[in-house]
Amino acid sequence: MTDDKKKLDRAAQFLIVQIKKSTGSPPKYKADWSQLWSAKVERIVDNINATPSEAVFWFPDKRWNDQTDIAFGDMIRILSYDGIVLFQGFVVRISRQFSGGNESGGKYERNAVVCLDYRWLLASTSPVYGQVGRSPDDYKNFGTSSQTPIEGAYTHFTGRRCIFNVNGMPNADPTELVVIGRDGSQLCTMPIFANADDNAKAFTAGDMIRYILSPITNWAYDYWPINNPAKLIGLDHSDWSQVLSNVSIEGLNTATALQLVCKQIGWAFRIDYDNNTPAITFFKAGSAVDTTRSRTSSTILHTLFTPAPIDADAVAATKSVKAAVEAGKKMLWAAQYEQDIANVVNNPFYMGAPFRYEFTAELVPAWLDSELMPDTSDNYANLYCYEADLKEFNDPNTLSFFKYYHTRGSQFLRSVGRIWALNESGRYTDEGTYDRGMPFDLASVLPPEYVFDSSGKRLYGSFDRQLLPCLTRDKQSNSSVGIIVEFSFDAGSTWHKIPAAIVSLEDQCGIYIAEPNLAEIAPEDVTLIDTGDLAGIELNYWTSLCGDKLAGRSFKSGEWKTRVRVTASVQLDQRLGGQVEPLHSGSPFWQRDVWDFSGDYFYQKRIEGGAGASIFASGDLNADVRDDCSTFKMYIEYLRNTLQDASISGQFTLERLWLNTFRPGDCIGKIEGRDCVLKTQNGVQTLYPEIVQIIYLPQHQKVKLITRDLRFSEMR
Amino acid sequence: MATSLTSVFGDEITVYSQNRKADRQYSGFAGAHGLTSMLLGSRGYAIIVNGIVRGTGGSYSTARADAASTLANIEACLWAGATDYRFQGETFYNVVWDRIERIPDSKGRVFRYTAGGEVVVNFVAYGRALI
Repeated sequence: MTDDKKKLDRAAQFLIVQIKKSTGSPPKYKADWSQLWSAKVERIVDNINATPSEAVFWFPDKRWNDQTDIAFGDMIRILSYDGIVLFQGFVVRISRQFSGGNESGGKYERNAVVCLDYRWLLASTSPVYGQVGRSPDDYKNFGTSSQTPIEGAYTHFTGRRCIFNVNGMPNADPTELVVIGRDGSQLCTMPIFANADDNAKAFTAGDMIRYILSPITNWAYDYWPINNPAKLIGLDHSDWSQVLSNVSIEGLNTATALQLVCKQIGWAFRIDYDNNTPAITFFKAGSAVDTTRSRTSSTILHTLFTPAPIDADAVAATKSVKAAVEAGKKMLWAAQYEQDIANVVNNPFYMGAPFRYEFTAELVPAWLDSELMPDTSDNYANLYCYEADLKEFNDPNTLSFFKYYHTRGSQFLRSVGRIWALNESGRYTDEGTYDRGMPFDLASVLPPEYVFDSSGKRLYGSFDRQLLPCLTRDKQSNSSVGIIVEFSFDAGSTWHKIPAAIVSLEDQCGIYIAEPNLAEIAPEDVTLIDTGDLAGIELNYWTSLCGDKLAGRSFKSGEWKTRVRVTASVQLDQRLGGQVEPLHSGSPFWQRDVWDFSGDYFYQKRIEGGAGASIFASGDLNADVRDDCSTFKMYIEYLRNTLQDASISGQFTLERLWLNTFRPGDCIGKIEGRDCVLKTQNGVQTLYPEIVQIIYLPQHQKVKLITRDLRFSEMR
Repeated sequence: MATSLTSVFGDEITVYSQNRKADRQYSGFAGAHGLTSMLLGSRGYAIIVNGIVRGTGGSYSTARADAASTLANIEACLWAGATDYRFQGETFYNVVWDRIERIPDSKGRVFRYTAGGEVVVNFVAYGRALI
């Protein structure tokens, strides 16, 4: 039988169906398989990635309404005549069909069983949620210098989302968890989550796979025990050491989560049955080169054969069939395929987050000078009033300070003394109204390399923006220090951080002082105004503003003693990103697409010197400084390489049932006899159409190979 | 225990079997001479029973009805499941019957009235031994 493929007259190959009956819920299985001799295999569809493979068998001797000994959950496997497992899975569907036919025939009855493989089990029983990490009780001597993780101890934090390297921040525990089996033995180590601080390490793509399939997170472990995912075929490739940013698998199932991670690095997976046991094999799509399968070459390159067309020497052509069969060629009986560049992307624009900088800058008063009218009556006795004193009044609205400038005043002027803005769009520049000077120029606070292009043009426009929290992180909380507002009452010589209710404006870079009484905003030490009409009056924010007003000082000319400055971060109008060019693309066109990774890759800096230096630049607080330029470009080039080729999508039907020969992920290099080379790229890197689905049709003794995408798949 | 073919078809039968037929699927190749074949197995042994049914009665119609009744009883074997049969020391295993044909004479008559007052029907039953 071994050389059957080399005979012109072959024998049909029969497949054997075996069953393990299930009992209970969740099901348990007997140790031994038993034969289902009366079952006839209709088809096996072998798929890649999260789509489970499917097997259908039926009972020729059963009426459509007959009860069979098959029940949901029974485990089924299908073997070749020589004992090689082609499929193993579970009964998920029982299909009953019949038709009375008509005068032209068509009568039939069918009592069939549909089975899906272990990927269905993963999808149906193994959801991904929360994070596996360590609580304080999972350490010895937690919080001390001798703190060490307890072997095998972990906690499942369901309130946390399962997002690897969230927002680009590493969040893996530097010490992996030792996974202990039920018998007490060590099964493997697995990466787990930890706080995204300076001690955390980044999850690599391989780490993510090991996490997803670990005995702890694999809810289907009882049925498919993968004791050490690191040993799965393909995971030792260097591609898996790539760090992927912001990969969220929360709420997905295990199979889909695997696919999501694989797709990001151009890999895929399938199920193989080495030693007749199902195991996940990872492979790099479309990159088979060897012709012999091995652990390091899990995908191989196939050559198919079709005889040369009839020529003058028909006898020779006939001989070519015989010669090809005797040589064991994989005879191609039918095919249809298309070479297609329609969906090529070889010149993508890639976009990360907008550039973001933390700096310190003074703000301008966002109210009209004419709106601030100090009460000069009774020799300034009614200029201001503290909250405690306001209680003495039956109607504080008799005070203009309260009526117009207190938040509870009857004719409260919302902006006066309260809104300060960066004036980045020139909203407060008009000399006829606010007259606060020229629009704020980011170039005045940012280093030239951040704000000018190569020709010296500014890379930003006069657009309204928003003040965002600082990049500087607080030591204790490890979160941003927020937006810092400081006041000066001596024209910027000294600055005071005064506790007050202040919010950031959403429609412009600015702040709103929400403190009810502006006079309550005062420097820590009680100070008196030393010059001008208000000399001898207590210095506070309100009296300082009144002093500037009464002295007729011009803000635009820099004469105000009252100043407000802010330390915050601002996004500019350019993003991290660019465009990569085609490299040996399968399409002559430069085909473009926009790939938005705004939440994944960042370029953000704290200004450390010069006019706009952040007040934290000289301190000991670290900032969340990021420069993902090079890693982002590398990733995009990798993606481009997977998308820049002409695809060859098709369906190839072999003239016999080739068992254990083709596997999903294998490639078709060429069709001998007609000299059709199927490579999809001309250049240093040659790719071939990969097999994404294999359909075994034992009743027709044929096998179909579906390449590249599933447009031609009959099973979609 | 195999069933005697005579108990189904009567005593006036001759029985013979044919060798199995190969069941093959041929695959050609576009634009080229030459085929490969796929042996899908065999179609079972053909079992052929030639027989005569006789009806008796006082008139043609009575005798004809008697013969038709016997044929109807024979026809029932078509709906039976696979059965082992024996005939003259030979056993045919797992036989199912595909069809029974009534054979007309040269004048096209199936129910033939004979000088002895009998109605005679020749028939052929085609069966297949599954294994």
